[in-house]
Amino acid sequence: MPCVRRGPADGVPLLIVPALFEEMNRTRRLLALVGAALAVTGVRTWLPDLPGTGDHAGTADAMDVERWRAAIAAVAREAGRCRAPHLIAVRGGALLVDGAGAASLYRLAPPADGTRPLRDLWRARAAAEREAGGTATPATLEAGSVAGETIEAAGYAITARLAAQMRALPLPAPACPARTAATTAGAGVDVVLPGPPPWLQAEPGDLAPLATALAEDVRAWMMHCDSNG
Amino acid sequence: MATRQIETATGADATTEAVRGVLADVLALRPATARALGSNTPLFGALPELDSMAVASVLTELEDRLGIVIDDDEVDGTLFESFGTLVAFAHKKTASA
Repeated sequence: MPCVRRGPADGVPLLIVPALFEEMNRTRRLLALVGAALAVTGVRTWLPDLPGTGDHAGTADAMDVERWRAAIAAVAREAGRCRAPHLIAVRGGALLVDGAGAASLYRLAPPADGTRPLRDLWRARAAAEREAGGTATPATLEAGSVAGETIEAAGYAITARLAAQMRALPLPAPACPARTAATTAGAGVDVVLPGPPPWLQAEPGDLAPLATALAEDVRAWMMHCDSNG
Repeated sequence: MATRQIETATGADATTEAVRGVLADVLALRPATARALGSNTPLFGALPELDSMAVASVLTELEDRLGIVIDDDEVDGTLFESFGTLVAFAHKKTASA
């Protein structure tokens, strides 16, 4: 599986579960900066492309919650050869992992459940259609998906099976020490990092303040967990 | 009974500030531009960053930050006419949430 590995081979292992769909592209550069900042402090990171996304070859059928979880588990085994890896889960990626078997779980702006990313996809598709003179609304797209149609949205083919899986995804209860970060305060947020949040932006701008703060907070959190573990 | 929203001279109630924050984050507005958003500031058509994709992001993010659900039937051309119309909509939704 395509996976960017950074940092010393004997470094503290950290697996990064990427965001989903368009937000994965929008956070790619942020995660590259965070990986680079952590590498110089002795952290080894694994950043996989999930099946059906990024450089991972595959058809629309490859985008499947069970396959994504299996792929994450495979990278976790590689990262965890010597010791249990830490986990960062970004946005919708947080829906895929509960941190079982990990040293810790750090969640960045997780959605409440899988209906949120799905809603985003339908709204994006409806917006694109409106500009092209089409008539689809988020409601008609949702109805089509429920009826078994594959919906093209934001450059992805969302199968009815994937949509059904997403609808049934809660934000899992953590199975290891967990911390939640976001760029705005809210329920369940442990630390507020400086924005703006690139996952909301079509063309993310200056990512340095967030990348620096995120790398520092993740590193401090991992050290805290390791000293308590 | 809905909580009465008290707008100060700068419009600094929590809902107004949440709307301002969402627009600033999604559209990558400069802090000065975000602060200058007032009731009469036009949005759609006046802010080039606010295309229909950005509108989709604004809606979902407003839902998250304000704890509301926006029915897409409620979204028409007038909603993003000005900062004031969007804030008024947010107030209405949070009052009934």
